[in-house]
Amino acid sequence: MRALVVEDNVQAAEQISEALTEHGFAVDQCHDGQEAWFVGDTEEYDIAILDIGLPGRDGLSVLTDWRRNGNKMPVIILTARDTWRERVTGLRAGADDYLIKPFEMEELLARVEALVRRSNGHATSVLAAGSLELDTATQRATLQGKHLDLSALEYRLLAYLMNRQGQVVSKAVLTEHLYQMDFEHNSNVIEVLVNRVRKKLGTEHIQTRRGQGYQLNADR
Amino acid sequence: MPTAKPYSLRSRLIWRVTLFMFVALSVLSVALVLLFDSYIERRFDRTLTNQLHSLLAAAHFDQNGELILKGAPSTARFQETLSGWYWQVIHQQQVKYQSPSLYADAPAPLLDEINLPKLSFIALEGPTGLPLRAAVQRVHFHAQDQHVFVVATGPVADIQRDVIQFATRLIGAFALLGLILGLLLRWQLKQLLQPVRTLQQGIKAIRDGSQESLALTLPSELTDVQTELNHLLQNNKEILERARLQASNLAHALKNPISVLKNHAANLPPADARVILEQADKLTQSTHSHLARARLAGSFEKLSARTNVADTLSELVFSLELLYKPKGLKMGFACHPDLVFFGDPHDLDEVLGNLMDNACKWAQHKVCVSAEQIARGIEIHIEDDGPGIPAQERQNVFNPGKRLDETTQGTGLGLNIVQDIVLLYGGQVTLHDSTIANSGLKITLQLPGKLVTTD
Repeated sequence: MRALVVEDNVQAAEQISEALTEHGFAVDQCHDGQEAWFVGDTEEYDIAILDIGLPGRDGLSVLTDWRRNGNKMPVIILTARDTWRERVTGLRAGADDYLIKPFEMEELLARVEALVRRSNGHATSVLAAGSLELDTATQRATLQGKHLDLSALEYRLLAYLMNRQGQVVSKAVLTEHLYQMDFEHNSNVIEVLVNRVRKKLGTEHIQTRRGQGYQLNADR
Repeated sequence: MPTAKPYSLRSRLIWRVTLFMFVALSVLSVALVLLFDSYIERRFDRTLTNQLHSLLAAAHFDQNGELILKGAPSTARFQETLSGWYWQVIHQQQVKYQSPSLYADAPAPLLDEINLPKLSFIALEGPTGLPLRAAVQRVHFHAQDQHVFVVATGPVADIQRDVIQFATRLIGAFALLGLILGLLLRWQLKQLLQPVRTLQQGIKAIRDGSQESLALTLPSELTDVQTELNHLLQNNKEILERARLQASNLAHALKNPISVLKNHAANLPPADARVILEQADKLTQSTHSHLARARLAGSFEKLSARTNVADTLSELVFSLELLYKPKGLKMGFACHPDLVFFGDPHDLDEVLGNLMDNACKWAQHKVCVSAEQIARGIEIHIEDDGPGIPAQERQNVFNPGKRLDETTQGTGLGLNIVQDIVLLYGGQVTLHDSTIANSGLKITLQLPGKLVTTD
């Protein structure tokens, strides 16, 4: 899962990024509206946390332009603007949720998670593929009831694939969603990562489609 | 601020002109009556003089020294018995001849002979006690060396009757004139003061919110007023918008650091964290409440204020459905599309937003909002199917900082601000049992407003 944090207060941005990273997200930060608009439209994110009062460009106009371009990425507005008129305006501009500062980090994480789940069409925090289960709320994966010990990156890969069960996911897409922007794209880290996860799950769960990508299926 | 009741230009003008007209017409009538009186008197005197002259012309002495009245003039009025129109020719204290109107066997002189060489007029009392005016003359016949005293009278009442008749008609005519002038004045005033009324209606339209500024066709004396008013309105609006923006910026400026501090405190040892979190919460609460009140103080001064309730409700329902999507609440509202709140849209947003948000926090499955027109303004009900509040605890709900539910997120300031806004508009907020579920809370708001049906 990859998240975009748009926040002009650098310390606030750091805090949010840290919490999201701990929660299994690859996080990019933007401190400027113009940059946020460009990055949000060119990179693939599973969620964006957007402040409204931004230098360079207002957060609302960034959001409006994303939506006008057909960008459907889930967006949570996180702002100090707390009047109902401002909330309505933000949600009408295309935000999926609106959280007011000062906020509790747990609240933000819960909302991020609920939104990601909803955007992937899941009703609960527990994703299951046969005997393989993954709880996005607690970030724990179990296989036949037994706890799997996964690194942050391994968890991210598994969560992403389980959110898209049965779909073929290309290496490029995985790279986009698992790593931050500054990652070197042309290495074979994805293959190495997939192999490491396969060792823990058993080979039958993740299949390789030659030239297309990877596919996660429920065990038969 | 003037405390006295303002006077009306129109009624002041009407009263003054009426008074002026009354005085002018009264003075004029008195003058005319006096003039007429003197005219009538002169005519009366001429009648008497003519009679006197024709009597003198007819009188002469014969060879025996007897006084003869040959061809005595006798107009109709001197025939009528005791009419007051009399004449007498007196010689040596004896009435020699008199008018037929003086009916008497032994004629007595109407008055004692007075030595008046010239024609004179005197007042006297007639035989029946009637006040008379008399023309008298004592004429000396040189040939006979005799004096003849001639009297002609007429009733003073005749003069008075004519004058009174004239005065009555004059007053009637002047009253009619006054009435016509008064009506013309009223009509003219209505025409003249029309621009003032147009201006009044323009201001009312702005107060109602159906117009933003004045664009009226006014006479030159009032165009400056209009320009100045528009300028003030624009200025007021700009000040308000600037205040709102500053409040918003201040919120941003304060809450961001608070947010960072709070999140940072979470990593500190619990004892340190508690102090920081507590203080940060206090800071948040006072920032929130003071900014909300600052915004409120600005908005109530706004002259034009008219907010569609259904539009506001539909925006809020849309927003709250998104915010509470994971909860899967059923939200609905019933409101006539032309129901209008007499107040600022931001204020209605805050009141309904906070109350509906609260209802959503509590509700298990549904939240229903309905709005309707009542005798004095509009009434809005917000109902949920949550646990409700026991009747004895309801009055505590609006205390500052009191939370409706300690476990649900929020500072509890929302409802306190709701009450401030509602009271500022002279409205009311009351709590009742929900009617849509066995448990739950119904909040009823009474606010100024009405159903404005537009064609």
